Amino acid sequence: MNFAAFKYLNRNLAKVNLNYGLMGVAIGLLICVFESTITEKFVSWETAVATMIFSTISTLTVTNAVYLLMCYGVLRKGRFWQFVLVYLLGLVIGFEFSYWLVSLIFNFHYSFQGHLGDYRISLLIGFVVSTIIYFYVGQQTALNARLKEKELDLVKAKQLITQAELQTLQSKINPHFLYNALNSIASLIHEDADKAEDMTLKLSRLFRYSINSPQENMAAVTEEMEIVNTYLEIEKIRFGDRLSFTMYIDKQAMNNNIPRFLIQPLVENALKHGLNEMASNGELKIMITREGENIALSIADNGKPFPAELNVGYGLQSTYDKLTLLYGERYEVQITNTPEKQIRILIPAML
Amino acid sequence: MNKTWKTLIIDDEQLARQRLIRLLMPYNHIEIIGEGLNGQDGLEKIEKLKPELIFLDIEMPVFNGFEMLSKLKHQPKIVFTTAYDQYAIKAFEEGSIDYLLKPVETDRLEKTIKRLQELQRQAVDYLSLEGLIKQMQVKKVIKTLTVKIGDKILLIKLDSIIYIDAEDKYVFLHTADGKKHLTDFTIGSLEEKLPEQFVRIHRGSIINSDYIREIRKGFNGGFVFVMNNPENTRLTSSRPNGEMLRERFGM
Repeated sequence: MNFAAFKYLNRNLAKVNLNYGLMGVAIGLLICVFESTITEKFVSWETAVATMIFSTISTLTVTNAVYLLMCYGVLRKGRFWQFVLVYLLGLVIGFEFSYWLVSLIFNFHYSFQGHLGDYRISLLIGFVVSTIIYFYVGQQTALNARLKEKELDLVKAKQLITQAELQTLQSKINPHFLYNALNSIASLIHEDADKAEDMTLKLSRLFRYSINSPQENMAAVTEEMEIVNTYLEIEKIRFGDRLSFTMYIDKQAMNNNIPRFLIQPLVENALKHGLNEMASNGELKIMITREGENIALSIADNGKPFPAELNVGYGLQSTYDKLTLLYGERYEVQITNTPEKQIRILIPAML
Repeated sequence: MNKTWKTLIIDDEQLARQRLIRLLMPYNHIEIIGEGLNGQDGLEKIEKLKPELIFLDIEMPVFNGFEMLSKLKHQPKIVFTTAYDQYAIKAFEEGSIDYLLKPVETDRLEKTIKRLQELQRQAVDYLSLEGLIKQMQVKKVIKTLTVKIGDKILLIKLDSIIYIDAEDKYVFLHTADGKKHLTDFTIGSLEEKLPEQFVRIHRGSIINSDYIREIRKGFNGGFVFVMNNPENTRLTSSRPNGEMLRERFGM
């Protein structure tokens, strides 16, 4: 047994002794009261003291015998006779010790043969009590184990649900986007085969990121930005000069992880609601910076401002849902039109 | 012999226009007279060039396809080209307006060309058509309200709101987690906006009927609503609402 385990055992032993010692005192008191009621007069103080000594000491010896042998692995669960034997052994030790103590206090001669007759009834009671304890404790532990198992199942189920929810939130690239991109490719094949090839590869990279490994909730900042870049390059092929974009990652944020596919839906929103109405010079800026304990993600554009009454569509709703699932309340979303039209998300920096 | 169709293609994506032009090449009787780069450009070109047929994208800058059509004086025949999904597209069929889904397939285009004569000229109210399509797209009822705290925006799920009340000029959303959120909306605008389960019981309060624990008779013909939150908030209805509430809750 190593030292730490010993310390643990020590602390628990003290606790167990205190608990059962008190219980022993209580049993002693009960016996005294019981005797007083039956004989209809108070028991003598000598009897009271002797009863208390017996009940307390034998409770303690039984408890310690069972507890220590259990800790050292001698006494195992599910061994009925072993338990009864240890219990009775503890009882005998307790009784002998009590007899000896009582004989010292009341000054009479201690002899084993003298009280041997008492054991017939005591051991029988000990046997009955130990049997009851054995089955009671057994049931209790089984119940506890079952409860714990249920709890564990619940926790597991919850985790699974969260994971499933995150997964469904994750990989939703707008089919619209796919059809339009494919239409562009169909056109490019005849105009510029190299560009068509390039766009096909970009599209497959984007879908690989979204369809494969949906179990991953988080992605490295660089990986996520790479994908946003790919997405925007595809859109740029479609929209030509009407769209330009810049991306910036703070050096201090470079090594962090952020939720997968957090930025892309917001960029899609910026294109759809902000920049779609601009016939030219649409600008989009995506920034990831470190702000103290937080990572700040900002998506800004120079298009139509956010309406006063925000229309919460799938993109924004799923962003909130995703953040709540991952961070509880430890995130913040800011939406502003001045000085810059942007949506900004603050999440705890996690390496 | 087929008649010749003077045709204009309006799409904000160059590649999409190019593709359509290429697909239309084999049809000698389709004569492409120009391209519109967006809704506004399309409008100008239609009025100037007077095409008999247009291929028209829907989501475009400046004016979208529907807005553009509603501004037209000259009325060509119209074929929509769009990546919209089928559901929204169903709305078109009534007016026997033709549409092509992107990426456009050659067989499907051939069918459209054969049908050209049958296409109705106008007679459709495009803006109401747009409304219809928008409705189909945005059919979703609102599920959340936004709450502003400085720059920070919170989304409050409707089913977490227990009741809404006004204190002086301020309107608060009271949520199941015991918090209250100040909102910019007025009680009146919320009453209009919110789905059925929210009932206005008083000039200054709306309750979520999913969270009613108990309804008691109050004084003066009003009702007292005890809400299902830890505080068991009580809200009193005003008398004028009595009849409506009686009916609503079957009392």
